[in-house]
Amino acid sequence: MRILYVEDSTLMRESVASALRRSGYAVEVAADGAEALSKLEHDSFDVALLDIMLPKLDGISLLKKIREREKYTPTLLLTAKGEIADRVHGLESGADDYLVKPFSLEELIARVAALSRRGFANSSTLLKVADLEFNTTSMKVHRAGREVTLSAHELAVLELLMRKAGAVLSRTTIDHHFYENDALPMSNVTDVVICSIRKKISFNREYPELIHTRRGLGYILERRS
Amino acid sequence: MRSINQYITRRLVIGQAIVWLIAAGAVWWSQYARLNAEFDNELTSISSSLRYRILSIDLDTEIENRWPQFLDPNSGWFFESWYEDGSHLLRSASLGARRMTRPTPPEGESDAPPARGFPYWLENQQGADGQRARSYVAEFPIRPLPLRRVGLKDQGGILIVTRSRSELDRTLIAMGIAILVVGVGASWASARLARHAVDHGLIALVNMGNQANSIHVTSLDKRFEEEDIPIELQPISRRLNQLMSRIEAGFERERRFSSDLAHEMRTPLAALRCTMELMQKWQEENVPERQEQCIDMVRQMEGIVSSLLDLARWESGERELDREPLDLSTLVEKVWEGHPEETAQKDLSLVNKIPKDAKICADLALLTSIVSNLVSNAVSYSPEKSEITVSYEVRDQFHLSVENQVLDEFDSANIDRMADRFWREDPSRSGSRHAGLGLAIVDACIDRHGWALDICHDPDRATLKVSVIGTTSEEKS
Repeated sequence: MRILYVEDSTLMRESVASALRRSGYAVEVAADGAEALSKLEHDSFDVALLDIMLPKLDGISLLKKIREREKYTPTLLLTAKGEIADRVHGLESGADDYLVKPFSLEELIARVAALSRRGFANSSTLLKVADLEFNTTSMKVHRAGREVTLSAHELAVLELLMRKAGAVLSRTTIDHHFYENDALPMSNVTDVVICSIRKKISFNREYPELIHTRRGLGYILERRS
Repeated sequence: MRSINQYITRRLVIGQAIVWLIAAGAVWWSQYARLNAEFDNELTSISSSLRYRILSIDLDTEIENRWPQFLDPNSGWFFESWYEDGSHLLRSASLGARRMTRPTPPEGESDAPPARGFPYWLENQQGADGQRARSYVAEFPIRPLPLRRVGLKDQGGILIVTRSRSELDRTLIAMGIAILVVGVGASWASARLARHAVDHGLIALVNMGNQANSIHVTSLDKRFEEEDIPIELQPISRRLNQLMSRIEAGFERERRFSSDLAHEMRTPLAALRCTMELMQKWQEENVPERQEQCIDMVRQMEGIVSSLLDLARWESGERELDREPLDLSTLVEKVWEGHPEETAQKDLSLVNKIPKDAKICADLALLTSIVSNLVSNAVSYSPEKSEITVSYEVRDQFHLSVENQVLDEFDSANIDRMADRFWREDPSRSGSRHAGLGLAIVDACIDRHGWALDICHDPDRATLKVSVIGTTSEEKS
């Protein structure tokens, strides 16, 4: 999942971005409203986290501008302004959620996860394709009732594939969900991760393949009879 | 006084009632006196004529023709006369079988003027018919009349003529009742008119009261009508509107202060909490660099709290000022030396135009705070390779000024808010070690000394000059 985090406080920006990256998100950061607007216009994000009091262009104005340009990236306002009127104003300006500083990192990550699910047709916390089940709350995967142990990166890629089940996802699309622009892998890291997931969820021949390769197009997760 | 309306109405009604009472009394009394005088005049006139005719031979004809009332027993007119020796002389037919008491002349002088040399007097007494009556009493002499009745004694005598007051009293009572009724009616009408006039006259005041009653903390933008109200209320309305503006500005300032304080404290607190949670949850993130950042954040919050405490201390006036002559030039140099890194980094230079022997009588801690904040602000907001000029002049008052270059886009409208707590040109408050309390502290310190703060922006030269203006007994240039 790709997240844009806009915050002018350096310590805050670095800490939250690190926590989100540790939680498996690809995080782009911006220190002011103008930089954030440029990134939102030229790139796509699953979730945007905006501070309100920003240099150059404040968070509310930024939000209005991107909504005017028909960009409906799920947005969470992170701000010190905690009055009811401020929250209402923020939500009425197009925000999907509002979190007042100071906040708990756990709560922030949970809200980001909830917002990121909104971008998919299936926004449930229990994903199921054939006998493969993925609980996005406990981050546990089971195949035919048997638990499968996956790394954080593998879990994130599997969640994306399961949420987009039946759709072909190109390697570029997958890369953009998990890597920041300045850190896109030149190697075949995604292919390796997909291969690893395949091995882990297919214990033996009794369990049919669920992740299929479409040559020249990408990967698709579906049950084939 | 619970109600102006009731108070004025009550006073007006009572006042009018008293006026009506006095007027009615005066009218009644004047009419009473007039009718009594007329009554007495008629009695005196008839009685005088009767006295002259009493020995006349044609008295009966005269009575029949001129004074028939002496023949009618119900007319209320009676007379009777006696000789000097007390024997009876004559009485009116109206007396019938009734008798009148022979009067005794009063001792001493009579109040009434003598009628052609013979005294008479008037007195109140009961009439022959038992009614209240007025009597004319006069003596008459023996006179040689050509047509004198025969058989009369050769003596003078005394005559009493009485006239019943019944009719006069009835007239007076009727007149009194009429005056009373008219007076009560007029008083009632006056009271109604007064109430109506007071109600109407106080509408503007009542409206103003209702308007004041409808003002709450949430509607401080409301203002009182100033034009379409009575001129007596216009100064009150204008003054109230001025007060409302000040209250609204005060509330707005407090709201802004609360909001700014929340932002100033919440942002570093949030950063601190997130960083510590990050370090706790992922041990790899617990690195010295992050710990140092946390300490910086704590120092920043400590600075804000310390500044707020300073501000509260100066504003409260709890601490007594310890004024002493202070060397300004040395103080400025010392403060300037406290910013070596920033002045070197931005290549800033100080132009110290303070005379070497200039002294100012002030509290050392407060003056240091003033100079330190002004110089610190100038250093932080001056563009690179510019000059900061500190000057001191004495005209009528002393002017201690710090002038620095500002960016061309500096908005002069900011000047009015620059001394507000937490004000900063950039509303995001990012990228600065200042919390926006410096000028507020300067303002409080200046206020404690009884001085004034003047901020002047020159857009042509792109300079900002902050001056402290005041008087001190010790300043020397």
